[in-house]
Amino acid sequence: MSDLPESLSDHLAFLAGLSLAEDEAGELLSQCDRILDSLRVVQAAGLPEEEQEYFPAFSHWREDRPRGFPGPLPEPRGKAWPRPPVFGPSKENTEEESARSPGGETAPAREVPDPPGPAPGLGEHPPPRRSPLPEGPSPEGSSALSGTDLVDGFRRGDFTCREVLEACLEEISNWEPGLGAVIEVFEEAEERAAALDRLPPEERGPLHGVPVLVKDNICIRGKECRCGSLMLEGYRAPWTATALARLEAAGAVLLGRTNMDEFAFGSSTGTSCFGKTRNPWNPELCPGGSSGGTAAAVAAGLSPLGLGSDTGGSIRQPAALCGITGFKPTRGRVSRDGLVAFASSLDGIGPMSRGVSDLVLSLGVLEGPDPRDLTTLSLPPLGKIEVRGARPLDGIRIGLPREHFGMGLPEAHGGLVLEAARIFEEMGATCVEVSLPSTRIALSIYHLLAPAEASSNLARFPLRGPRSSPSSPPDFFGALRSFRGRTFGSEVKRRLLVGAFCLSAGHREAWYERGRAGALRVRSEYAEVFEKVDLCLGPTTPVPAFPLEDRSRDPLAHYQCDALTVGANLAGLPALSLPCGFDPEGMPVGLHLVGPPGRDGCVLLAGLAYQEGTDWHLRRPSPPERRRKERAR
Amino acid sequence: MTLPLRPRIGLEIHVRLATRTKLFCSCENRFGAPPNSLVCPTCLGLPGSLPHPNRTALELALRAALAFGSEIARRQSFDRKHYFYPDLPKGYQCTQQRTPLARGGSLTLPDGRTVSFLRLHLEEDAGKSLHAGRKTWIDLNRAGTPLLELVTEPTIRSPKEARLFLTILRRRLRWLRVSDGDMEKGSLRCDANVSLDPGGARNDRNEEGAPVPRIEIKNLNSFRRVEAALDFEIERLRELARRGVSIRSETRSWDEKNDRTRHMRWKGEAPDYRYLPEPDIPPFRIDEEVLESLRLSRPESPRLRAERFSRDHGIPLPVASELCMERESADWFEALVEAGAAPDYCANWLRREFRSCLRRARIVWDEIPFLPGECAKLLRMLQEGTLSPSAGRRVLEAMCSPLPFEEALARVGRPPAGPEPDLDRLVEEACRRRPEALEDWRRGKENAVHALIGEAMRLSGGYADPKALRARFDARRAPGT
Repeated sequence: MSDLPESLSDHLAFLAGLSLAEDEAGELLSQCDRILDSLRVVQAAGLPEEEQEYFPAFSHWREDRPRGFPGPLPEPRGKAWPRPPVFGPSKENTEEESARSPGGETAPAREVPDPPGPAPGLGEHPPPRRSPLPEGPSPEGSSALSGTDLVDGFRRGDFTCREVLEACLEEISNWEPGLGAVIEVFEEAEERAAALDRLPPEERGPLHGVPVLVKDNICIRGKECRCGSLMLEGYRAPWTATALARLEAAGAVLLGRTNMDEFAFGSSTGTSCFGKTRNPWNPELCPGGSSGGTAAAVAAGLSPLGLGSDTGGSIRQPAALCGITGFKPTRGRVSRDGLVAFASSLDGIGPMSRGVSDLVLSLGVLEGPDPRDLTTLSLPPLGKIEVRGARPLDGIRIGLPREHFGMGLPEAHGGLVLEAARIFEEMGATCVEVSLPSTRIALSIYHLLAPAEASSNLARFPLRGPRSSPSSPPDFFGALRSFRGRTFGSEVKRRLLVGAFCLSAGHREAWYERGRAGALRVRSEYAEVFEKVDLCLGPTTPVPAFPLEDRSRDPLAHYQCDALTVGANLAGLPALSLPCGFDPEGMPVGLHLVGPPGRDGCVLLAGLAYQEGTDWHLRRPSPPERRRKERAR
Repeated sequence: MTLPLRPRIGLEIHVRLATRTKLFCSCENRFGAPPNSLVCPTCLGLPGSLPHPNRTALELALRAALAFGSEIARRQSFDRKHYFYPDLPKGYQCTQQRTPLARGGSLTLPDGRTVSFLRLHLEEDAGKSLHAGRKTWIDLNRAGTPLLELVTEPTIRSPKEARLFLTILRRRLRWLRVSDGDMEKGSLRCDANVSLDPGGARNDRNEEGAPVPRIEIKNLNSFRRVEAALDFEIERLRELARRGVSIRSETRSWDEKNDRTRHMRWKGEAPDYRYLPEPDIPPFRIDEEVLESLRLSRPESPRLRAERFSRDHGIPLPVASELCMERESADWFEALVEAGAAPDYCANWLRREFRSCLRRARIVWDEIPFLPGECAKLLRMLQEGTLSPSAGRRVLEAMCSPLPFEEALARVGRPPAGPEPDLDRLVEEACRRRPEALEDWRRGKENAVHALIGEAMRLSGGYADPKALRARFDARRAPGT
């Protein structure tokens, strides 16, 4: 092994706080060696050091006043919050400008217009067309409705929160446990729905009664938060994440927790201690990951809305593979408070649903600076996003990064994405080819940074110290390493080893620091491209959905899933994945839209316009056999 | 015979900042609470928690850096320093490794020598491990409390000087209200490093150009220990040098029971901390206006204040300097003079009576239960001699207990119930004991009567009524009576 001689491997395991069993050590370390080898392209790129940004001290630091944790729910929008850093051209997009109409800035519960007005935070666009669907049954029952349909339905009094909740629960019982997406249904949900039904209409929030499924790495007070790992067995979070608290305050019903890759390390939702999640379109295939549980559940119609987290594509890649819509907002738009950190500088919470309209609905509630997360920014609120006229994207320039169409992308996928570009042109946008040369090494940059930060963030486990076993060493540190070695899954251990190596003395400059320079490079390349175009369009993932058992032996092939999504994380950009068709195997294909930082509105507008003109996002997978049989009876 | 090799000593001091809350969360920064009662998800390192940095901690650290004349870094950030330890809940400590808060600056010792600083930086403290028999208990109240780490250049020349430096440093930090500097509460902790100076032009390298081996001593939590450990270590190093044994760089710890240092680890076995830029706290700028407002609000330095006291109130500079060793005593002096006390009398009284009374009452300046105005009344009576020093002491103690001045005076400033003291006999005795004062007074020196009244007061044990005494002395002013 080139980089990891025997003695160094022991040292590495020591640094990572792991003791490796003999039967796994050899394979793990040789895999790590191959991973590290693949990362050398970043060193070879010879990237220059670039200046980083500094914020004024004190501007948003805390006052020295004792206060219980975490204090009152922060205001959605603070006043003295720093402006986002200047990035790229400062010109304002006309669409976004007009989207921010006066009065539409915030959507507090009490300003909900009288029924039957438009849903708060949404434009007065007509409900999506329901074309006859070639596959699956036509939408029936309230669980098949979108969040926006629900909000309108509640307003009209078509159904109650409890009815909607029961429809979701029934759908869950139809699909589970075969699907493996929902790992816990909250008992309190029914009570909460009943309480919401008793609310007078004027006190209803913008998400009144909308059920939400939550990825297993976002804290809910009193609920288990396992991150799909044995390491957090029995851990109950003592507080609720800001994002979820905001959803709840807006009237959403937290329905349950969804499965994920262990600690969000992966792209298949196959490394969870709760078992694998299946793709609802084809149970032999994986749903993508790491937010695969939420993606599969939303695709199967178990809930109109779900929350995921995205560090390298963990929202967008499973959204693409499951044929739903997922959004990673600009870094700093949604608070990370209560999100179990994987790679803190890349992590973000984002919504997943079937259509963009629901994303907009939930983002209006999720967004806003949070004193509990210093990295949140005071971005202009999304406000109303409406699609106007026959050419809603007039004047928008869309760039197609030529590098995104290589990387082993199947031809059929490329064709569907180009077809989508044509539809955008029909709507008034102009498409041009652009170049993002660092796409080639973006994945390696990501794998220099993310494992390094993960090795830091996971140093706190186990939270209560090691539980000893008869075989564990008697001393604390020995027991700790042995416990961590026994309890973490192999993908976690691989990343901890790679991360510890990248940060270790003598290697840090050549590895981790190169990754930092690389991230800044990706950022400045995107900034350059966004001087010429307003959006970048490409496929979400170069790899179609793969069989459940595949790839676990070959981590490098597995990592390829994120090749096209990591750029948006490294540069902190808003990025949307939405379905744009089906490949010959009948699996959905994802379209990826990336915008400049803070211009989430522009990305969502394009997505909304696309979905007004197409119906890919309305298609649903066939329910499992069991349900069919029951129906036949 | 060769001269003994001279030591070069550097110190690394951790000072707990006097903030109300911890560095990255709003838990109280307080010593002595029940174990694990001042904790929250952030300082427990629960997954999903994020740091919320405390602006006052940064302000206090900057205040100290400004006072020492250090160069403050305009661009700063935090780093994670990783190591596994039971009392380190996150598995890393948040510190300023790449961009220390400030570099340079110095502190002047009374003999005029200065000790320079290498760097000052902010970091969070770990929890506390309490070893009891075979079990270890963890208390995380201290986890996340703000520390200012100060590292000096290795230019201290003797263990005694190291101790003196620490004393002056603590006094200064208290003056600045940056820290209470209380070693018993762990608010000031110190590691020392020592090497023997090989002489020559570059004193960090020996004749062959190799770095001089350096010994680090950990776990020194009193000034006495710092001095004792350094004394022991220098003697040990000299002994090794005499015997011609080569010295290796190592880390040792002080063993209090046996009054000696013990080997911990060799240099090079130092852990690999895998520093990572803290991703949850964006790098920050210290702008000129921030520094300017800190400069404007910084307290007058002890030296300037002492000079001002000496100039404005006509007290000797050494006395003024002693008053200004602690900010509180300087504040009290100023308040008492304001309330009408005579500066020179007040200065001496504060330095001696007042201080020893606080000590006996076991209270610190902050806990004094009365106001300077009340105290000034007492001081006036003492100065006039209408209350004897011993009665004054009793009254002051009663005021600390605490009692209002009038009540304290009535209770312990007057004789206990019983026969009235025989004033005529007291006056007679006082005149007999102080004939020269009587003579001066009779010759017309009005002030001399105070000496007589004072003497009579002393004789009465402080209980006689000074006004009645005065009347009786007046009756005796004519010679021959």
